[in-house]
Amino acid sequence: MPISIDVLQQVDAYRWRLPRHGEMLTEGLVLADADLLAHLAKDGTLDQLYGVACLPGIVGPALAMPDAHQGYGFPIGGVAAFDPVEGVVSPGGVGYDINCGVRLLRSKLAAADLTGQPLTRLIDALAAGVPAGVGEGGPQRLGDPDLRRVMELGAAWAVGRGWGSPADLEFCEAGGALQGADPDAVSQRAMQRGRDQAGSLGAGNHFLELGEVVQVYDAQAAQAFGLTEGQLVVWIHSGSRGLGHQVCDDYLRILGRDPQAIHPRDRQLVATRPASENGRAYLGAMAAAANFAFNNRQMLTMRLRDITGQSLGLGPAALGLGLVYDVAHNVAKLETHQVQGRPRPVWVHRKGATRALGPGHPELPDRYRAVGQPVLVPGDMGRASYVLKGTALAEEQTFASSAHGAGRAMSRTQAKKLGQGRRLEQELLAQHILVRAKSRATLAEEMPEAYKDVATVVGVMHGAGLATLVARTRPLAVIKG
Amino acid sequence: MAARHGTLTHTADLGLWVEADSLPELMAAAVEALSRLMTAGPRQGEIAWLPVDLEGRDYAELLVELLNEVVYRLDGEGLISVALEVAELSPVRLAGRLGVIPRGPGHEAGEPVKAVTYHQASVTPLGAGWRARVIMDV
Repeated sequence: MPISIDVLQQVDAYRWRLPRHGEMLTEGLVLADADLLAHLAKDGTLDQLYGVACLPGIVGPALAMPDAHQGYGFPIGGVAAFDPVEGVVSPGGVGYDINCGVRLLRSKLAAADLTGQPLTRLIDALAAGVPAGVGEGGPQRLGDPDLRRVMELGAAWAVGRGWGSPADLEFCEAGGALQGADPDAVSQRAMQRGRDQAGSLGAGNHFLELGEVVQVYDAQAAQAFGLTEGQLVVWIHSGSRGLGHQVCDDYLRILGRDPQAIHPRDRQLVATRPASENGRAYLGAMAAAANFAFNNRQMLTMRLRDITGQSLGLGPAALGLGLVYDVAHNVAKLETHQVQGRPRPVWVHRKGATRALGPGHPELPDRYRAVGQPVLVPGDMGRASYVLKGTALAEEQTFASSAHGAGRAMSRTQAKKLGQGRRLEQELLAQHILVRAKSRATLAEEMPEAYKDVATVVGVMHGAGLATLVARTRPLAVIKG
Repeated sequence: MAARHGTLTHTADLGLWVEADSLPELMAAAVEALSRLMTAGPRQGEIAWLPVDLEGRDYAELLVELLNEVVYRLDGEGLISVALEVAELSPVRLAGRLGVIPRGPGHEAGEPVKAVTYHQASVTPLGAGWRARVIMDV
């Protein structure tokens, strides 16, 4: 019997408890308002949250962010922390697209200077020059030695080749590379899928968006992040492509056959002790895939910089395409959090969720330390995206985690049906948004109506005090894979 | 009955159902259905046959393993799966060979399936035949 939203107990306007019952080892905490709860009622998010709360060694509540929806194993928008000894790591708690993530770049350009033909020329040049779409390879095929170095070094691999600057690494979560990456734990099949995909956007919900900062809510934080109203900014959303998917698939299979692993009823939730042989191997492979993704976004950034410079006839200094931040959405990381007033290391799984460190955290770059981490929450291609900042409260209540996007409101199939007979490109153009998509099907699947309103999602984060609003951007031109 | 297939809705992703008279036919039909979903275009050309020898805990797991083989062959090697010949099929083993052709300019990319999941995967009797369902990560 699916869990009904009726069992949720309201804590305040934005927090709902899923009381501990059945085999749950802890309670669940759902962040939502009444509108978002109505979405939860339509799918299996609460059942999946229940499953997460049953995993051994869970510390604190099993969390569902405001953009949560049904996934596999963990819900998308699910966050959970586990004790390093008594707890688990779960490939289903990280997801298939390991370190699917987003980065935001500021510029020295005013969006108003780029309307009309210059914007059309630029988005067309980017659509032609940025590899995107199903099975689309990157700019170069990597041999084993280079691919292994990418998996060890992350974004530093590209920077080491002149595709970016050390400053880019400073503004990536974890410096653009997770520690402990072990290329030997990555299968030949995973490497085969990844070797010609470095520097490519991919398909599905991945995108590159030129946007304009249309509203600043927090002047101090916006200044620290280098954001001003009217400014042109660029969002890039991509991940570890086929390599990450194969790593997840490989370890679901390996753990599924491991008698020492933990086998919940939901096979996608299979898990193991972090220190077990297969646990260590998965964590090494996961970090390697995460680093592939960091490097992927770095290579995409350099392609963006090169093409934008050529298209507009401007040098790097005039463009000023500097990284605001790069965050991972799908990872498990060993982090230290305050639990019941004491620091405690835990394996934090964020699946479709973003880290959101508060002010003063030592992992933040100096430039942001006084205000907190930029929390990047892209919306759909027709409405808006938001920049928030992490808070101390998030560190106390959500293992420093936040929502990562709008979250889907309807299935891809439903969206395609809704898109039949419609000219979505023209509809968006009427809203002054240029769209270049590799396929009409992708365009329909990703139409604005297919997503919840991201304003509602960030409204919950802001209202709950877990991440607070800094700025809003609107899309000007979007490339979909 | 001739094998049939269709798609299912899932919040973020896509499902596939297949029906056939026998389990070997069900597996072969699932391969063809997923392959058509991922790539449109002609299936002509010389078929290369690749051995498959998969293990699982039940038919549903074997089906997921098999379909992930189809995903890998396309994404990792540019090969479109066009046929499956089953030599042995039990609840814990599927052995046979997968027929593939190279992806060419006449082929058009379809759904960006990146993995086939165990989530709600099932193989169940349906009258005198069988029905399968899987959810795919796209």
